[in-house]
Amino acid sequence: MKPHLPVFPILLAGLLAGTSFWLEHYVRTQASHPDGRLRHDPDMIAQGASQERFDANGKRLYVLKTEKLSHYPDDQSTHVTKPQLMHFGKPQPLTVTSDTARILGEGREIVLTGNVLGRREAGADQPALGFATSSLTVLPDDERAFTEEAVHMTHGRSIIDGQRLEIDQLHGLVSLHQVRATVYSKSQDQAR
Amino acid sequence: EQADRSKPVKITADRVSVDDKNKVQIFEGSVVLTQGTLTLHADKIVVSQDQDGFQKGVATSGAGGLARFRQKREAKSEYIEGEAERIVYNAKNDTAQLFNRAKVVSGGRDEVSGQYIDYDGYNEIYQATNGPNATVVSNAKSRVSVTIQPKKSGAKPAASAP
Repeated sequence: MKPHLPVFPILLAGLLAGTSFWLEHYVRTQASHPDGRLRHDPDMIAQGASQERFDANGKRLYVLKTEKLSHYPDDQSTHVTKPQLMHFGKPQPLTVTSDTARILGEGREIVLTGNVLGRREAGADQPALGFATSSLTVLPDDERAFTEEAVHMTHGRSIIDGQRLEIDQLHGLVSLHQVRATVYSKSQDQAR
Repeated sequence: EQADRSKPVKITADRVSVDDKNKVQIFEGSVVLTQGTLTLHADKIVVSQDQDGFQKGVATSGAGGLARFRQKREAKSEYIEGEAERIVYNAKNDTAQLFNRAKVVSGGRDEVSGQYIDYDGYNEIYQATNGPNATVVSNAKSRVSVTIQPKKSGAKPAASAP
């Protein structure tokens, strides 16, 4: 009977040789021209930037001022620090600030996170509105914003705590769930 | 209680929507409004506020389609309870207007009912009419009814409603 040829060791050696050949080739190509597309690296960084966004009819939707803005080509996202978003809905502009924000889908969605503070100034006969939460998603084109997080809101002389904030800038509506509100009168101001 | 007027108004609810166009806050879902000893229960309370703060709350629909309120009487351990399809509570002068199927029970005994009751919580006076919106409809089916229970002997007679 013909001596049995040791096939397995030969296969193993071949595999090892192939792998090391591929590894050497890969390392050499990486060294000559590194490919950032495979890594989450910014391809554009701007300090102290200010962006304005308009809708199809030329109406200004928002102005976004940022301390530092970094754009990432691999997922087309933009990461900013210290954003100040001023949204021009009704009845008054709404200004929101936070520690950081991510802008997705070419500005169609802005997710603000960390110390999110919203402020809508008082109008002719509308009291000022303010809110504080930990994160907020803004959809500028729909003129809407929402969060699932806990929210502390002030509206005129009312203090309202609750969950799940929804802001509809188009119709000037703000709603909140699981609500506990206190409405002070002028004489009780010092009590707050 | 007269001190109620100076207390802040507290409201809990499932949901509130701040409608700046109509300048109101709409509280919905198991709404409870309290101010001092007064509590107002309804499924919906529309609150309007002005420069000075809470102005008015319009409570509608609660259990059995009725909004209900309860308030402690001045210097007495008795309560006044009222119910109606719509209760308009004005916090500034502590008055409540009750519309449709209105009833006010004082101290669990004396009862007034009619289509409309105007209840002044500060002075503890209430006025009832058999027509809607404080109107008087002569010889109509719906009547104002007032029941004043006799006190135990020697007790001061309750003020009779007009």
